[in-house]
Amino acid sequence: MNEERELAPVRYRGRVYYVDAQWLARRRVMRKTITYSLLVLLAVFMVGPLVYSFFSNDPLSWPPKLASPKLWPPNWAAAWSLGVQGAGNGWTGGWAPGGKIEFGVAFRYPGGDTDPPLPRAQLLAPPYELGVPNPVPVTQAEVTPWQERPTEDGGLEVAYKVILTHQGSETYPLLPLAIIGAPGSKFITATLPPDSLSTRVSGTYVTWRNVAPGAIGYLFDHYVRAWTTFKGEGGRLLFPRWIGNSFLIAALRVVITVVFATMAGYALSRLRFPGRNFLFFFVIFTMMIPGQVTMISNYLVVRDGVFGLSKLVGLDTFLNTFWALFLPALVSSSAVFMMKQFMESIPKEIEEAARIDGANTFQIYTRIILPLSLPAIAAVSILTFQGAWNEFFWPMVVLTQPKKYTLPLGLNYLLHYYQAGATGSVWNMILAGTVISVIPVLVIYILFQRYFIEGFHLSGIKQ
Amino acid sequence: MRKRSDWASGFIFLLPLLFTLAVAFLYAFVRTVYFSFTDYNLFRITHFVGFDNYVQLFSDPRFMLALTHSLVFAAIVTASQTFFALLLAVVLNQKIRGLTFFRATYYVPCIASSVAITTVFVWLMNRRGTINWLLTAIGRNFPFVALGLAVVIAVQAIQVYWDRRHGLPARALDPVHLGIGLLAATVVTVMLAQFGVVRPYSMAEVAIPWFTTRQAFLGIPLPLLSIMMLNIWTTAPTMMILFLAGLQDVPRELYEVADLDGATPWQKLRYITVPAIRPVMFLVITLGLIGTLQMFDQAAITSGIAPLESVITLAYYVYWSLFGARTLPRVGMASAAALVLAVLTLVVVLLQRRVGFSERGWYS
Amino acid sequence: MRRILLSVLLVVLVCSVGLAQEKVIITLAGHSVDTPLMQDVLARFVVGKIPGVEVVWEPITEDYFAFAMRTLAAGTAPDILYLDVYWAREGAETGALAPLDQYIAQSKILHKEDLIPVLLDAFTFDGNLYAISKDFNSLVIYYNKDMFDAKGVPYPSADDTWLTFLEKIARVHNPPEWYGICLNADAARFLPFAFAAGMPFLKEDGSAPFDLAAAKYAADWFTIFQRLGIGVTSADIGFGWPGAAFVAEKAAVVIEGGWLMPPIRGENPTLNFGAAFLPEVWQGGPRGNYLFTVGYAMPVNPPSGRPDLVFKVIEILTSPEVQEYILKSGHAIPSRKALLGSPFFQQVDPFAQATKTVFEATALPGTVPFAFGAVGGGNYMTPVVEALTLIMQGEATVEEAMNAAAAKLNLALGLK
Repeated sequence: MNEERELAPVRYRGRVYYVDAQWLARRRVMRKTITYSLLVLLAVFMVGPLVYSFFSNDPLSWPPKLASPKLWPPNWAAAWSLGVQGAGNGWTGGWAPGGKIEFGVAFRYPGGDTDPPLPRAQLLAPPYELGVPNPVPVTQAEVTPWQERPTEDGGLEVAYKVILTHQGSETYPLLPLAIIGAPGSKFITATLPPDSLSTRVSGTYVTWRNVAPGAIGYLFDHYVRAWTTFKGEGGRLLFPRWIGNSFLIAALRVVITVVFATMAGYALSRLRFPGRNFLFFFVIFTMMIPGQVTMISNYLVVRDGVFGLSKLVGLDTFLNTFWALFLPALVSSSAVFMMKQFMESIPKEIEEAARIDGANTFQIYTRIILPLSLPAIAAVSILTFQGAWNEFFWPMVVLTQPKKYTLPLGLNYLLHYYQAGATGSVWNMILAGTVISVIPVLVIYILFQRYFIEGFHLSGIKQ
Repeated sequence: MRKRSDWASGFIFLLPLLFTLAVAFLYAFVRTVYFSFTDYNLFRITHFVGFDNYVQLFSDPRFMLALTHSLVFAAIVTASQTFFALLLAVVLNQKIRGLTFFRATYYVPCIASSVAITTVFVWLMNRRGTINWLLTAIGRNFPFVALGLAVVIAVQAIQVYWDRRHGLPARALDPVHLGIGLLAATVVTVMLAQFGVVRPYSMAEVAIPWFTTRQAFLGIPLPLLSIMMLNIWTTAPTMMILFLAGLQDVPRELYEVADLDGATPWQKLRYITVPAIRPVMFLVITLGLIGTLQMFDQAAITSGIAPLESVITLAYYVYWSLFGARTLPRVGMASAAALVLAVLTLVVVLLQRRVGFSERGWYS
Repeated sequence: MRRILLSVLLVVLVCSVGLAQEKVIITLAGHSVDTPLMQDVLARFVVGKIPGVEVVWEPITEDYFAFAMRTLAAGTAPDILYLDVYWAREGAETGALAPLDQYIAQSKILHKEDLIPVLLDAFTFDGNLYAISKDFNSLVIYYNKDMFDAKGVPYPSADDTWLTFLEKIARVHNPPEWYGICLNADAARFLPFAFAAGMPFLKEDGSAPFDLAAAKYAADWFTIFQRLGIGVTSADIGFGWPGAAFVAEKAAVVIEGGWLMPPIRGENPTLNFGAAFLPEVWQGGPRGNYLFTVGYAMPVNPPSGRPDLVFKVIEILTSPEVQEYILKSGHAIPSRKALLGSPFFQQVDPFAQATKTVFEATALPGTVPFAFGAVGGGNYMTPVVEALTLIMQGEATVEEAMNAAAAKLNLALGLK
C-alpha cells in the first residue's frame, strides 16, 4: 500500500518533508475555501449596511427583521388584485368610480364568546403631506361575517368580509382604511398585511395606508412618498430636480476640470518658464489647505458676484446659483497633479518630432498630448464626477434654496424634514430617499468600475 | 537639446489655474487672515480688534472641545483605516478567481455620498436599532461562541500534535484541521444547547444611544465614536485601492524566496510587504490625516440629532460660528478657527513625515 | 465624446431658456412642520387670487434662526419669512427686514386694531412693526386616554400638582409598549416650570438665575422622569420629536402645543387623546406657560422685486377666512380678536377640546411671551439645555449642572 502513495515535497521551517500529495491537495482546497469565506465575510461587512437598508421595509421593528411582508410574492398578487378591484389597474391601483373592493380580515376572540361584536371599518384621510383628495365621503364600507371556527383553547376565530364601494364620480390615488376589532380580540390575518397594528383598550386597531395599492403602489410605497414629498413652483417635484441638478453640475464639473487640468498639467510638465517648480509646489500646498479657510472669503466673493462679473449674466449675486459651485473648483489641484504626473510619462521624443514637423505648442497639446492622455483623462473624469456628485460642504454654504439643491443637500433636507416635523414611520421614507440617491452613482460605478480603480494607480504613486 | 522658454504659451495654458489660485486661495487666504483680526458679522461695519478673536477662541470651551475632537479623531481614524485598508488589500492581493468582483464590492462604501452613509448609520445605530440588536445577540450567545472557540482550539491542538508526531509538517493553523475543528465545534455546541447543558447568557437588551447622548467612552463622546466607525468603514476602501496598486509592484520573487524559507504569513507581511510599500504608506497616512483633520460632513449631518458638544470638530466649528450659532455670524472667530485648523494640518503632516512613515522624492 | 459635449451644451441651453418666464414668483419660507397646513392654505386661499403671482412654499428644515440670519446677510432671503418672537429683536436689528407700517396704513383688509395688541407689541421695535403675527400657541399636556385606561390611572387634569403628575406618569409607564412621557432637554418646555417655581427671568442684579433654589427645584423635577427611567427622549426611541412618539402611540404623555394636532389628524385620526393644563407646583399654586407667536416678515429687498404684491400675500394669509380655517384645523390660535368667540371652541370633538385647552392656557396667569429681549434667545437657552441634558443622563447632579449653566449665561452676559 505504501508504494502506491504519491509523495510531494513540502518546505517547513527550513526542512523538507515528503508528504502524501493528496494530503497537500486537501490543504490547498481548504485554504482556498477559507480565503473565499473571508472574502465573502468582508464583502458582507462592506456592502451589508447598504443592502440591508435597501431591503428593509419596517425600519423600526424590534428585533430588526429582513423578511418583510413586502418581499412575499403572494402579497404582490393580492395588491395587484386589490388594484384591479379599486380602479381596474393592477400596477398603480387607485380608487375609481365603480370600484368595489372585497377585503378579508380575521380576528381571534380568546374567551368562549359565541357572538362577538362586529369589527368596525373606519375610513381614513390620506396623509396630509401628500396633498391628495380625501376619498372618505364617497366610500361606503360594510362588514359581514364570513366564516368562523372554534380554536383548540376554546376561543373563536372569525373571518370577515369588508366590502368597500365607490359611490362618487372622482378618482382618488389612495384609499386608507382602519379596521377596529372588539376589545381583547387578536388580529390574525388579512388580504393584505397591515401597515400598523396596535392593541388599545378600546379595541384592536389594524390600519392600512392604502387598500387599493396595485403591485407597484404596494412594493414601492415609501419610494413614491419620498419622491413626492417636496414640491416647488407649479407643483413640480423637487427630488427629480435634485438628481438633475447633481447630474448637470457633475457633468459640467467634469468637462471644466478635464479641460483646465490637462492644460495646466501640460504646462507644468512640458513647458519651460520661470517659477514652474514653485507653482507646482504651490498646487500641492493648496491640497493641504482646508476648505474652511478659503470658504469665508469665497462665500463673500460669490455673494458679491465674483467682483461684479455676475452682472454680465444679469444677477446681483451668485449665491443660490450653480455658478457659485464652480468658483473654488474651477481647477482642482489634485486633478492638475494627476495630469502632470501622467504627462511626464509620455515620451518626450514624440513631442520633439512634432515640433520639428512645425507643430506649435497648442497643436502639440491637442493632437498629441490629449490623445495620449486619454487613460488619465478617464480616471480624472470619473474621480471628479464622484467628488462633485457627493460634494456636501461648499454647496451647503452657497445654496439655501431647495430647488437649487444637489442630491446630497436634498437628502440632508429630507433627513432633517422628517426628523423635525413628520410623524409615523419616517425611517421608511428617509431610507427610500437614501436608496434613490445612491442608485445613479451605483449604476455609473458598475459601468465604469475599471476606471474608478485605475484612477488611483495614476495618482502618482507609481513614481 | 535647445533651451527654449515657453512663458507666453505657458501663461495662457495656466491662466485658469492661476486665476483659481489667485482668487480662491491667495486672496481668500489673505482675507481670512484679515477677518480674523476684525469683528465683521456680515451686517455691521468692520472694526479692527487685534488678537481678541484668538483670545476668545482659546477661552471658548467649545473650541477647545473641537480641537481635541479633531486631533483624537485624526489619530484614531487614520491609524485604524490604514490598518483595515492594508488588511483588505493583503486579503485581495492573491491569485484567485473573482478578485475583480470582490475588489469592486469592497469599494462600494466609497461611492455613496457621506449623507447617504451617515443616514444609514444613524438608523442602524438607533437606540433600538440593528447594531444594538446585534450586540445583544452576541452578548446573549456568548456562552456558545466561547464553547465553540474552545472546541476549535482543542481539536486543532490535538490534530496538529498528532500530525507532527507522525512526521507531517502541519502548521498551527492547518486549514483542513481548522475545517474539522469548526465542524466539531458546531456539532458539540448544537448538542449541548439541545440538551440544555449550555444556556444563553441572560442579559438586558443593549440600548446604547449611539448618537443621542453626551456619554463618552474612554473620554471620546459616543457620537464621535460612531462617526469614527462609519468614517473608517467609508474611507478604508479608497486606501485599500492605493495599497493594492502598491502591492502589485512588490516583486513576487520576494515572496517565493520567503516561502522557500518557510516564512509565516505574518513574517512576510512584516518583513517584505510593509517595507516595500513605504511610499504608499506615506501617501495613505498623509491623505488620511488631511482628510480626517478636516472632517465636516458627518458632524454637520448629525448636528440635528447628536448634541453639538459631542460631534463638534474644528471644521464644523468654523461653519457653526458663521451660520449655526444662535448669534449673528461671527466671521472673525470663524476665520481665526479656520487658520488654526490650517496650521494644525500643516504641522501634523510635517510631523508625521518626520517621525512616522516618510518617503522622500514622492512628489519630485 | 463630441456627442456628449453637444448634449451637455443642449441641456445648459434648454435650462437657461426655461428660466425666462414672466410670472412673479413669491417665495414663502416657513418651518417645515407647517408644510401640510400651509400647502393646504395656499391651495385654498391664495392660488389664483392675485393675478400673475405664484406663491411657492419652501419648508426650512435647518434651524430657522440660522437660515434667516444667513439669507438676510446675503440678500437672498425669501419674499416672506417667519419672524419668531424669540429672536424678533435680533432680526429687526439686522436692518434687513422691511418695516410694514406704511403697507398696513394703506391696507384695506388688514388694520392694526383687528389684531390682538400683545401680538402686535411682540414685533414692534423702535416704533416699527416688522411682522404680522400669524397665530399664537401655548403648551399643554397631551395624554393618550387608552393608555391611562389600560393601566387604570386617572387622566392628567388641571388639578394636578407636580407630584401627582409624576405619580401618574410612573403608573402609566408600560415599556416597551409605551413610555410614561417623552420629553426632551428643551428649554422652551423647562423654563415655564422654572418660572412657575419662582425663578425670575434674571436676578435683580441682572445676572443669571439658574443657580437659584427655584431653578434647581424645577430642574430636579423636569429631569426626574428620565432619571427614574419612566421617561425617554424622542431620539431614544427613534423619533424626531416627542410629538411623533405620541402620534405613534409610543408615549403616554407629551408636552406640546397646538402644532401636534395636524399630525394626529393626518397620521392617526382615531387616536384617543386629551389635553390638560401644565401641572401646578403645589395644590392651588402657580403654573407657568409660554406664549409662542410667529409672524410673517418681509426683507427690505424681496427677491421678487414687488413688495406690494408680497404684502398682498401676507394680507391674505392673515385674513379672517384663512385664520378661521387655521383655527379649525386645530393648528394654532389665530391672531385676530374677532375669532376668539368662535363656536368652534364649543364642540366636543377631542381636537376642538384640545384647541380650547391650548387657548385657555394662554390666558392663565403665569403665561409669558416666549421672548428674551436683549439677552438673546440662544444665549439664554443653550446653557439650560446643556444642563438638562447632563442631568437627564446622570452625568452631573442638578446642583453642578445648574451652577455651570448660570456661570455660562453670566459669561455670555458679560458678567464674571
